Amino acid sequence: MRTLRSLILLLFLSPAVVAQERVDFEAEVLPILEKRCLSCHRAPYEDSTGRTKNPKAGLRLDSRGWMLHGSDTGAVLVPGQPDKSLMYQLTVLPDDDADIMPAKGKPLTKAQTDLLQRWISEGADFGAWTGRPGPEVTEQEETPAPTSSPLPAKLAVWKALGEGVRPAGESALTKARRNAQIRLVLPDGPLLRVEYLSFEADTDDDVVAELTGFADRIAVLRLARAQVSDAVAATIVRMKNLTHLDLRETEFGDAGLNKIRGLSELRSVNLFETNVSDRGLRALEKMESLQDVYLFGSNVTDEGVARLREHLPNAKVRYELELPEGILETTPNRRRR
Amino acid sequence: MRFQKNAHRLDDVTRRDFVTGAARAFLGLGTLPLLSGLARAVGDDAIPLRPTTARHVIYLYMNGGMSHLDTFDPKPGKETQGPIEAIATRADGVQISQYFPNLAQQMDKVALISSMFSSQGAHAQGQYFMHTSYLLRGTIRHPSLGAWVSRMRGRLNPSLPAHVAIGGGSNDASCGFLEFEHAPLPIGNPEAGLQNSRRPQTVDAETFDRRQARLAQMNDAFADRYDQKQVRAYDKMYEQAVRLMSSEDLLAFDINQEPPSLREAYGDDPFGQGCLLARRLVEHGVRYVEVGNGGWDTHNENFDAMADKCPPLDRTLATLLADLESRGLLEETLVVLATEFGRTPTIVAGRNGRNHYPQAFTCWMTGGGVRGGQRYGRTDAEGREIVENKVTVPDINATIAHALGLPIDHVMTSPSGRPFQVADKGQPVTALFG
Repeated sequence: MRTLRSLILLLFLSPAVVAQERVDFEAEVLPILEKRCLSCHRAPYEDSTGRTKNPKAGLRLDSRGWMLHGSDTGAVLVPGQPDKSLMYQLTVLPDDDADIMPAKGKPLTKAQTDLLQRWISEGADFGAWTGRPGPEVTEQEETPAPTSSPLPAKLAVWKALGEGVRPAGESALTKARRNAQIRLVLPDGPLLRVEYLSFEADTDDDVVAELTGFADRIAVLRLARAQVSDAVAATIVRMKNLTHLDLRETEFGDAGLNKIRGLSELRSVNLFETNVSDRGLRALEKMESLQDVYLFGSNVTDEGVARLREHLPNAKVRYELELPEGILETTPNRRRR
Repeated sequence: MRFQKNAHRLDDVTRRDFVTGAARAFLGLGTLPLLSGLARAVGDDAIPLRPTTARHVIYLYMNGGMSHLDTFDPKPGKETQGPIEAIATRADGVQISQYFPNLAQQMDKVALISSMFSSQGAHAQGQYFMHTSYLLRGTIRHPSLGAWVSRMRGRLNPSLPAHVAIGGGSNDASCGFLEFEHAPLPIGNPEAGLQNSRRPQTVDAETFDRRQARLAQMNDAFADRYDQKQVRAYDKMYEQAVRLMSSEDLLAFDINQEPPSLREAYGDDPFGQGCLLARRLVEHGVRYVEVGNGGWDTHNENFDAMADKCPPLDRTLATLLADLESRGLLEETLVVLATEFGRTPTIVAGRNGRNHYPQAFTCWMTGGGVRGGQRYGRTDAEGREIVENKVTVPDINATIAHALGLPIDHVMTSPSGRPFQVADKGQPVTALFG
């Protein structure tokens, strides 16, 4: 019923919308600018006492070029985007706002601001008008687009691994979300990051097993401080796209590590304060994708670490808290002058 | 006219003052923003996701304007350098002051930005600009970067605030015109942790719950009648505080959990212990932690002040970076060292001082996807002028926002209807990453 009513409404309204013509800058907008804006925002001139008056805020509205150039602080007109165009935004501030424009006299009328808004929305078409000579500007000077630099290496890996992988189904995610935070690692890819912040004490091997349904979508798994044991490896081993695994401060150990040796995409494994010993490290030796290994506070020895470093020359293996030498003895070099 | 318009709000603010005082006293919460349109909502449109290399920020703020020549942009052999010498670091070709021998060993992780430029040469204005990317003005209070992060991305750990400020001094970490829940949780003394966060001994759990239920009962009618963002926000604040009170994450605030040797390595001063607390918080999922370090306004006897201030800073920074690294936290934690301006290369005769100098100074970043071992941007031979790759204050904030995956071009509207962006019109220095 409601749909029908809206349809009828739409039928009546739409011709009016269609009939509204594009704003004619010279005939409609310019007169407003001339009357309300140009006394402050125009080319420098000498006033009656012979003093030079510069345009306020460096902004000139007497020229197409200058309008697109903007003020001392940046663009005031972004064609197509009234919400980013200060020359519209400042006219619709509450009338007690110190920044409202025009600064003197009454605010513009609703009809006037609406016109300005429409003109900008339609692309700020100046028609044939150029006004006074302005600085060289390109046809549509927009605020610079966010720099699209190549993805950092880590993100590029996630992008590549995500190719062709279907996103996890919502129903599978819903159950897991009761205890976990699950987010995308890249905004436009299917791969996920799973963590259990604030739920560590309730997160045991069974809770993590709830991820099984979409295990291959998980790129980052953070189990820091969770109540997991070696048995959690049974779930982890299914995560064939796993790049980052964080088992900090858990009871995870050698048996678990041995079970996940087949993860071929793993870049970073955090075993800080776990039960892992030199025996477990043997499992890591063939994992050539590893770049970062954290072993401080585990049961490994100098020997075991040296051996691992030999096998994985490209990985950074952190084994000690590398407090700078003599940090406790450091005495300042007093001034010499 | 303005007076009249606001007159009817006076009683409202008075009550809010009272509640704020109570909230701060009982729940360890900070002050409400009394500026800004208060009741009106900030636009709730979907905020686009962006690729992210950093999930946490530890923002180390050197209050007062840290001398660039005497710390991270030395000019050995020049008259402007004064008596402090430069030393080599683990990063090829990067020298820093002799007072940072420990940090020098980790400069392969750090990207120095030696072409910082600010337009603000006074402390209040400069600090505000650095925190918010906007100029200080009377009509509006802008959110600081930590508040933007909280607003745009929310909490990581549902029990812990997204934004914490350790060590007083700067009031510029603020939610500005955003909702109060984005204001930093203030921690005055890192050793004391979060104050008033435990149930008093005289109130047992049952009584507490009963009182909470009674409170909810009384509030419900009001909340129903005034179903507004601001009312909901206050409810939420209490709910979050109570949640934290009963959470194990409360331990994140307790640096007494750390071994004494590590506490000692961080340095026995508020900044050192504050950095240790920052690490614990990040570890538990807090997104943005600011730690303040004051006393850099060295107009007089600059070189004495450097000899006092730099060595403990060196020790704290070196320990913080090593500790983060050993725990694997540096991968996704961006550590930023910032200040509002540098100090004059010309040494002021008679008092061996340096004055404010916004036209060239140094900040640095490490972790969170930053490629270390580089010096980005340069000053001339005497440290006076930027000669390469100028980075403005909005630019450095845009760089932090970029690492955090915040959409810097996303416009959000203040309660008075004005458009703002997370780092104003700053552009990220993408050369620092990868």
